Amino acid sequence: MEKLFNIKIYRLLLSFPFLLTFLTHSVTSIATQSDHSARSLEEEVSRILVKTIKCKKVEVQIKFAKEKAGALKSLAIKFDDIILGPMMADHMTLIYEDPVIDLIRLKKEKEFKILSYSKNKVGILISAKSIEAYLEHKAKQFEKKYNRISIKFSPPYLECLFDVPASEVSPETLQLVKPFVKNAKLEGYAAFRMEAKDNALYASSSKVIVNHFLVPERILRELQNRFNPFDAIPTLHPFQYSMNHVTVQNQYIFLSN
Amino acid sequence: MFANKLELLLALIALVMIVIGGYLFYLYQEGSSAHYHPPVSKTASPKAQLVGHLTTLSQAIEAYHAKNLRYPERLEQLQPEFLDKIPLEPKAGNNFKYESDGLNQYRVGIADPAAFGFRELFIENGKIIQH
Repeated sequence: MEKLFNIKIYRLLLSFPFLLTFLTHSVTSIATQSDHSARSLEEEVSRILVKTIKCKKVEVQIKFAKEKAGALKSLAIKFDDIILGPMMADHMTLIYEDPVIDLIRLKKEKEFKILSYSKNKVGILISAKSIEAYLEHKAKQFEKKYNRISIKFSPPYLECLFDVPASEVSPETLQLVKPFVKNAKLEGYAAFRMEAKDNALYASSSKVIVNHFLVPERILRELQNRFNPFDAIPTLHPFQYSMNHVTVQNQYIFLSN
Repeated sequence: MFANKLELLLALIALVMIVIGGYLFYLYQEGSSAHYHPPVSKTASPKAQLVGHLTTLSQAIEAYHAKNLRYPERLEQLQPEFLDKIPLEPKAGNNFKYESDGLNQYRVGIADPAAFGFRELFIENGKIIQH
């Protein structure tokens, strides 16, 4: 009996390295398979998004949930130099936790859709250069001309140096700033603070100087009431988000939900 | 009687004109290019400054994540894109404590919250915890 027991022990000890090799291989192969499927899904999502969204580069990062086979733990999508309606953002990032992607639609119709998620985080970074390009685009759209508009960030303020012919300013604005017009133009400085609510952008001017005169607060309040919200953050199909925060940083404006 | 009233009226007009002139002079003085800078904010209490610095750091960390899809390893990495300079704790001037796993979580806080009258003070993944 004792001899038989010893033989069993020896066999077990001998088979242990094989068992260990098998287990290691299985675990590695599952991990590799998971990595591989994450990579192929990332590539597929990237391919579809790059076709539908105007941008320079798309980066997709997918992580599978360890505890539930096939379920995604997180999905991160980053766009560089993305066109957001009339605006160009330097970077836009969307992060979803526990997302459920419509895989049938993705495979068959080559369409990307997120069916559900537990939490999402959206961030948009816009540089001063992109804002200047956007203002130029807006001016062209409304057939307006200006001599100079330059933007600078001084957290928490957005600063603007401007030189605009009075003839190019809307009659409502001109009516308010008429006493400050000199040589048929408006030239000066403005410092703004920005806010966002439900994708609408608001600006509150903290200081405006026109043709060597500080514009009184009463007129600034009137301008704010008339022109706010001054713009909207476009929603990018197929994503849904509501941006509610704006912070001015050293080289970017950072919009987040 | 009439002369007195006229004098009073003229004095009033002169006073109004002086006030208006003074106001216009103030607006003109404040409108020189030397004043092309944002309004200077009033100095807040050390406690309010501390919370403000933490919020600024957290926003910069979130912005860094939006650009790089990961959190910074050190606060210095936020310069110069997101912050001009890394804020220090008011009063003592110590560095803020920062830790992150790089991918999913971060926490920024101070070594001694009690010094500012807090039992706990930190920002974790964008959420401020203060007691």
